[in-house]
Amino acid sequence: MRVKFWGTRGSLPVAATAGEVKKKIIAALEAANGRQFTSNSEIATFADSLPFAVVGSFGGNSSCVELIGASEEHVICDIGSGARPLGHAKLAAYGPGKPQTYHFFVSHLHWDHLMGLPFFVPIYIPGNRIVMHGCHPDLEAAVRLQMSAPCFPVDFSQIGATVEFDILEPGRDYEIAGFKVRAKLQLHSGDSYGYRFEQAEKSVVYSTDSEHKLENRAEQHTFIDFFRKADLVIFDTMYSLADAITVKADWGHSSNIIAVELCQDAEVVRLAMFHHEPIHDDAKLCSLLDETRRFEEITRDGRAPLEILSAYDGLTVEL
Amino acid sequence: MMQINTRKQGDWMVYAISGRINGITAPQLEASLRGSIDAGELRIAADLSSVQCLGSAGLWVFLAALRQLGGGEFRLLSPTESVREVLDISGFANIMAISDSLEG
Ligand SMILES: [Zn+2]
Ligand SMILES: [Zn+2]
Repeated sequence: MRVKFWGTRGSLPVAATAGEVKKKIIAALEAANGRQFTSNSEIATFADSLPFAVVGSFGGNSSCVELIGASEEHVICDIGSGARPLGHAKLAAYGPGKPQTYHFFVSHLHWDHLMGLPFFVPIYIPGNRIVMHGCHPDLEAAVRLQMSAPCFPVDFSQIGATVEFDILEPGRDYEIAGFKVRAKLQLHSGDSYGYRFEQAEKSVVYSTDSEHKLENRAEQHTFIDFFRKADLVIFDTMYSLADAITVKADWGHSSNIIAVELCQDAEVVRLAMFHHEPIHDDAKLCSLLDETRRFEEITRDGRAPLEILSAYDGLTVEL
Repeated sequence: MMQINTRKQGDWMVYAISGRINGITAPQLEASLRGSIDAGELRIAADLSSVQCLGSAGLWVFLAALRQLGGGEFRLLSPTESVREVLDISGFANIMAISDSLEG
């Protein structure tokens, strides 16, 4: 199984600012330190040797994660703005002549998790089949609302693909596109749902826009069960713990500290930090990753190490 | 796993904690702190110089004490290097008074 991240930003898509670009150029020139290059490939090799915060980027698209398993049908968590490049990639791979089936698992109906649908070009191509899975009874109404006047020029009724809505019951196991899937209710304004996917002895949990209350330890145990021994947990690490339980309490998000503790207790193999705060630049997100790894190390206490990565737009993780 | 020794130092109630403050031990610390606050203590310091391990459960207890003290004062004393790192990483260093002594 492979997991490809198309959008990893929380709340709102962002682009790098001129100031951030300048910072990267300065850092690259400093690293070059007067070095002479004789070819473009030498420059490219040098660029590849630079740290991720200088040569790479977390990107700015909002939540959209693809699960690539054994089935030819496509499985995607959330339809944030990352669904736009995903749609282009699918079109390039399959063209209009080869109808495809796309399964979307929708965590919740907030803007940043749905906004990519009108820009997901496969919905305009007759023959394609879109299945929207979710636990919110008003999933269809929210999707239709976003593609109606005055919000968007093309009305939902005019798209070419066939669309089905499949309302799931949390806590029940479903077989969908070759995956065993189970949803779990999460604490978030208007409710959100996490999804656990299993296939061929591998498991992935997609758990974003989920607040964890420290005073509610019983609730934490239900998440430890949901995450149990997963090969990858994709977790909302938008805020620091201090912010998440004070000034941003009840905003519906969590922290790297809670991510690590729940994953340690659940004996998870790998944690992906996700739903990045839009205000953070690449350097800040890199330092948060370093700090999270350090916290895991400090608190490991004889357990197997938890591997930690910070998801970025374009990252593929092989399980 | 965790030990608490309390002592009065001027108008401060000092909690000398040793061992691990985690999900198992934190409720004991929380109850003890609440007892002191209910008994009218207004200035409480948690001496962390012998604490090896601190997680969210312990941080939550500190925040609860800070809130319950209202107009009083809550302070973390002499954290070990790794506990200081946890305070920084969690953002608690921004919301808690941390010092190496009760003066100042
Ligand atoms: Zn969100
Ligand atoms: Zn949300």
